[in-house]
Amino acid sequence: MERTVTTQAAVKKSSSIAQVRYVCAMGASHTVSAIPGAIPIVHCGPGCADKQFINVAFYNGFQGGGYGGGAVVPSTNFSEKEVVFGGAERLHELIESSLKILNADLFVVLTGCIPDIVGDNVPAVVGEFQKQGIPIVAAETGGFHGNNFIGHETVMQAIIDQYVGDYSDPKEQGTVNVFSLIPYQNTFWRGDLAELKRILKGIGLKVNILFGSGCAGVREWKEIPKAQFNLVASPWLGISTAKYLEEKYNQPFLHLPTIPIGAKETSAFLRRVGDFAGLKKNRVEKFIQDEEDAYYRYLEDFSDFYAEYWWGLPATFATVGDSAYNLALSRFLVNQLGLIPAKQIITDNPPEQYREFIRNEYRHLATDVSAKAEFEEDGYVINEKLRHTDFGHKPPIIFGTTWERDLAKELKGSVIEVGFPASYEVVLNRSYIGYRGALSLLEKIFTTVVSSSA
Amino acid sequence: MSSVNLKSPEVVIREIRLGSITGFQGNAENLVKKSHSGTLEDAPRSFSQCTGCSSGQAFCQLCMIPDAAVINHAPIGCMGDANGFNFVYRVGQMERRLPASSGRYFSSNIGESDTIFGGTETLRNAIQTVFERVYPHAIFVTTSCASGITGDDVESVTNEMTEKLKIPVVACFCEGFKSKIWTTGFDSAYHAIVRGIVKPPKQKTNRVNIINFWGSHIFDSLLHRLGYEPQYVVAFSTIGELEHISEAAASIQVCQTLGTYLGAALEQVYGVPEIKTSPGYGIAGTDEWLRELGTVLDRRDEVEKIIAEGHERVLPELVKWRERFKGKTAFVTAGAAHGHALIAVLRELGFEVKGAAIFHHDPVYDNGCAQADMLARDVKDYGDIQNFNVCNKQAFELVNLLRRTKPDIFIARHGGMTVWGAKLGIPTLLIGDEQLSFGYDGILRYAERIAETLDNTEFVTNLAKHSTMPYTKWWLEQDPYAFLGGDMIVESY
Amino acid sequence: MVINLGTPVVESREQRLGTVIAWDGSASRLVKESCYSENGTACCGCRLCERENRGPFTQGASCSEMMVECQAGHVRDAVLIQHSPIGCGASQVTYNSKFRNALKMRGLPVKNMRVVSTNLDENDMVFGGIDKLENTIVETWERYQPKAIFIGTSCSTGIIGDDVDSVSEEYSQKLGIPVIPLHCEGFKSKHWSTGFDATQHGILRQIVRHGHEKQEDLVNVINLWGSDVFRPMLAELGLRVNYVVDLATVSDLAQMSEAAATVGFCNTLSSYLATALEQEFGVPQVKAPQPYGFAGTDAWLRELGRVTHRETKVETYIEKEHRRVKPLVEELRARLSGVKGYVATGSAYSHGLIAVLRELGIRVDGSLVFHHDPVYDSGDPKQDSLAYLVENYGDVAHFSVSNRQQYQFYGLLKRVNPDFILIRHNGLAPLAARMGIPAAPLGDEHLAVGYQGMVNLGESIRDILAHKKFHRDLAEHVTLPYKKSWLESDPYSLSIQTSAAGEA
Repeated sequence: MERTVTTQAAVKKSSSIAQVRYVCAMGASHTVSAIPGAIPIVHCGPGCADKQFINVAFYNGFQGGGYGGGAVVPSTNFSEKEVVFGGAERLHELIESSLKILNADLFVVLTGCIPDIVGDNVPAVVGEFQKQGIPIVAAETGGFHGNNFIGHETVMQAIIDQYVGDYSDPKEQGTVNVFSLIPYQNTFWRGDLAELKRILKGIGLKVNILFGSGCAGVREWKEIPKAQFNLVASPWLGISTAKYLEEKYNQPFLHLPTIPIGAKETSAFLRRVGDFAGLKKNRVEKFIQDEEDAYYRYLEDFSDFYAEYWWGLPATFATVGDSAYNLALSRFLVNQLGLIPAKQIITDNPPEQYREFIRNEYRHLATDVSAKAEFEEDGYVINEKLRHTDFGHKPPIIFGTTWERDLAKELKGSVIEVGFPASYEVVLNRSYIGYRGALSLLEKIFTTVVSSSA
Repeated sequence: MSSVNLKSPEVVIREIRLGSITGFQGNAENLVKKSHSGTLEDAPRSFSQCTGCSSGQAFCQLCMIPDAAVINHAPIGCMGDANGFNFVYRVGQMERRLPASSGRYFSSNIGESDTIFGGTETLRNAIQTVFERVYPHAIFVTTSCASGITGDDVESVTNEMTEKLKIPVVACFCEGFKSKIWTTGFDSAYHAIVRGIVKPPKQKTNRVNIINFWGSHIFDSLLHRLGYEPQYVVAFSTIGELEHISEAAASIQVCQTLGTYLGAALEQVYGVPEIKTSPGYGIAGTDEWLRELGTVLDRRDEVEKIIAEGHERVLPELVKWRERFKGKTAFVTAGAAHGHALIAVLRELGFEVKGAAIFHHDPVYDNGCAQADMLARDVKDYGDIQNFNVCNKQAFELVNLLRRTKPDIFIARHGGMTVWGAKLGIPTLLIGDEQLSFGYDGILRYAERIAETLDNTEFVTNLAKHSTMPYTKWWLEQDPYAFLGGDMIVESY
Repeated sequence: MVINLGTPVVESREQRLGTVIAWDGSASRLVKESCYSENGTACCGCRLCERENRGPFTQGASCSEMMVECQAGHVRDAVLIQHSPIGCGASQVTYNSKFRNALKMRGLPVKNMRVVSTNLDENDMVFGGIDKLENTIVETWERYQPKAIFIGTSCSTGIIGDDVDSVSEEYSQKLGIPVIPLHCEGFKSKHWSTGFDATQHGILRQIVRHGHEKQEDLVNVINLWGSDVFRPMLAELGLRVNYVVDLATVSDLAQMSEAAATVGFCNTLSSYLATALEQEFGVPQVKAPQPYGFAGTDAWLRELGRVTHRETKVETYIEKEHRRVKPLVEELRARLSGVKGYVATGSAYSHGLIAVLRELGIRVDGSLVFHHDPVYDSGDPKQDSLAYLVENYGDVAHFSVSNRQQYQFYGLLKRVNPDFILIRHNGLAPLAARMGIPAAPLGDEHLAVGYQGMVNLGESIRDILAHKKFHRDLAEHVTLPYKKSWLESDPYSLSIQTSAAGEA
């Protein structure tokens, strides 16, 4: 873990974590629940699935369990007996009965800490069912292996490897697989992926969005190998899967680290995708033009407020969150709203090999604005860092999580909950990205600021 | 001269009392000269856009007295501003750590039949109802164009109800059509307060009235050091407190445009000395204002110390800011005296002020004192200002001027104006708190806000590329004053 | 039976009380099979568990560690360390939300709760996590200076065998504050409520103080986060309330031994702590029916009055409250009679809620409890809350035990087709919602307590019935994940013998 030096030299570090900002690899059961028609089966202790669900999907935007998530998820609920004698048999009977009780197009078995420690041969158990042609996949996601970001890629690759399978026929020009936000962990993933799909469709692509209501379920996953290319829209999450696909299906990928927010960023994003895909320029430009026309009419109206609101608007901001949203927000706030970045803390524990790349993105947020990305996951340290940040003479606005509420109060600033956990947000299809999401984001930011006025 | 006559229910409008105007083009020096020589004439416009009116300004002063109620004797539309002022009121409560409560504003809701048969009965009922509902310590009745035209005898109704309810029920005459200068509404409100609320002094106190809007309490430490207590009026003063402002040791103005009438009335009627020199904006202005304060409050030595300390504290900082703002240009739009003050502060910070659109001009204030003229001070301390436009929120002139002068920053105090800067891609700063830039430290506070605005150009630059403009190309190429002075064929209204 | 505070690990519920998590039949039969009065000592008397079989299919439930978080994590001036991989830390989010809301409900300053995970990784699984635990203890002390540190174990640390007890002992001495190991590995007990006992066990061993003077007007109230209904109620009797464990301070916990009595709102939660306080510190446990409905509340108050020598005050209070509340309840009865309710909650709490519903004239033909304790720790028949319910308010035809298994819930609801359900735990209400049945989530567990509780619950139910419009609309537009063939089967056909259910 990198040790960023702060103004507060006294901040001590162990690897412990207060105020969790991600969960464990098994939390990627949500990656499964996010695919329409797929149901996870978890092989773990009695409370594991509940812990993941109630926190990632409930007290985080109150998203809900959906069709086959939440309390539906079959779980072996390890008892002492299985710990001692092994849980393979127990898993076998659970899968068998799941097939009787539940309707699903795909089951994905995820392991928790216990079977990974006691050494259950889960692939063997699942393999028996696979041999019978049952759509089922196994993924090793014991909690101590890593967090749910890592688990997300593990699960995606397991599905591609064990379910989607080999393919060597020709590619379909103009079709793209999208790897971007992590479902459920990102509170706004449903609306955001819908917007991402909408704008990519808008410039003429056929889009496999892979998760959420815009996804056609496992049928869409079967289409993955046919796509012309893969789009990774995030600083690092998804690159490993895109590389895997490159090797497996000889598919090129385009990596755009910034999830676009606002017209400026979104239009640039679409142009780069259009170029890469070799789309007709006039089609791309026509869509951009139409979207910008609508966007800027709202922005123009908003400018009355932005220019004239008397009672104080924030000038500096901090972002505390996973690298994808953190970078996307920072770029939008700096380049399109003209706010000043004061503290940028990345909390998703990106693998070491991506960190320098991410730091560099922050160094060049704008032609004239540079910021420093700090990597930190322990809430205590994050709080200390924010507490000792110089936010200038006005109260700051913190883009963070529920954990930052008390601190925001202490600093007499505002907090916008944009990531896990967001326990004070009720989210349905709200999006903060693209053209339309940016407008909702502006509404959210300034409604929050104005509500605290009087 | 005495412009204050408490016997009359209505205040004399500014055009007559002070000779105020709303149209002028030229340079500041010329305006000052004309003002002081009594040769100033108003230039009417043959095209005009919406402005403010007295009713709004009167309401603005009366609506934040916590234990009073305001009845607007008018059709319901005149209460449109209640919502906005209520918001301001609530922000103020929060800043002052007062419990949140909504303003007690009511409309007599004049209907068609009231305009035919008269609305006095409707008003009487309204007063009675309001009294029973909220038990205020006073009720102000503000009039409207409609009630003014139908000729309702509001004064008789309020007198009658004062007797009946045993609380002051005070009429405030502020019909919009009666004055082109909407700040006449301030005078109407103060006239009502001095006439209906303020009591003759029983004893002198060590309080100092600060006539302001709802600004920050920046005078506390200064006055405490001099052994005096601040009394911020009118917003957030109770009726009980207002009754005794006649007992104060002095009155301070943060803006002569706002407080001219109240300051003069308290001095002329009750002998409360007014600090007449123009308010303390800019270094030289602050020096002089403090010395006058020291003289009136008999604290000359202490004031000299304050001045010395202020210089020591602020001047080195100021040098840095001037370096930072060197070569930058600004354009100002604001109400009269406060606009002049902002110009002083900007020039103190090293800005070149390329022009101004000031909402009206009072050639003289009610105290008749030449030292009170902030614009004259501007010219004296910092030199002349070109493109000095007196313009009552006429956006078409402003846009035309902004396009020509292309300032690095556009500064405003009122809503409805700044968006034009943003649309033209000019960073724009709107500051509601008129106290922010007062005194030595105010200059630095203001500098920070300006620096912040200059740092945030992304939004306006981007917006300018995609914004629309309702004015024709023809107009934008015309002289900005083409419709001023009545030389166009269109008759002015 | 005797509680043993000598060992650091609490005895699990199934060992102590013979707890079961799968059973189906009528309430009266469950009373009979529990053999409460013959039982009296640890699991041996009844034969409930012989028939128990969880079956091949199970869904995620809850675990002891979460109950530790929900109690030890909510002691205001303590810190809980979760000695675990990060996934166990997930519920910091839930319990923080509950903590914040609870503080607000009690009028205390709202702040984040303080729970820290040692964040164990692959390496620690091989080499052990004790070093990390020590680091975390030191860091926790330096950061927060808590009055006590709780250490909750996890499945992983239980399996790899980290010696948490020795470390706790060492740091108790070094830091001069109680550092308390709480053994709560999820896999070790079939029911999560063992986690309550684990927390209470640790508190009893290391926080509750000995040898101080008694406070004759102090009453321990064992609860979670409920609103402050006991303080005004007990004030009428001249008694002060010591709310434990949630939202208490360490010194509130320490003074439990000095109280004149201990009461609870739910035997499931309070059984262990109340019994141990009596056994080890001589604080009498109020052994009475739970305080729900007129009869239950009357009896509970009278026993409290007897134990604290406030008999006269109690009678005055009872009379006053009857006079005040009876007409209100009558009015609600008129409005609610004929409505069908269903209760799905943690064990003994359900016994109380059913009583209140029946006071309100609501039909209750079914209830689901997440486990069943055939006997409570005191072994006193006066605490046989299920028997009390059946005797005073009649039988419940479909009384089912299931550790929150959603797949069974559809069939259970279909048996009785209720107009609404009462529920506290997550996971079941979403299914009811999709079936068109609104749920009243009882966030405030004190809502239904005492005389006023009947009025509160009645009014909440009226609000919830209005939600029906939303749920019916939803039910018409959702697909359930369960196969039709399963939905048509008996909910216990895969687990306990169907014949048992058939007899009900």
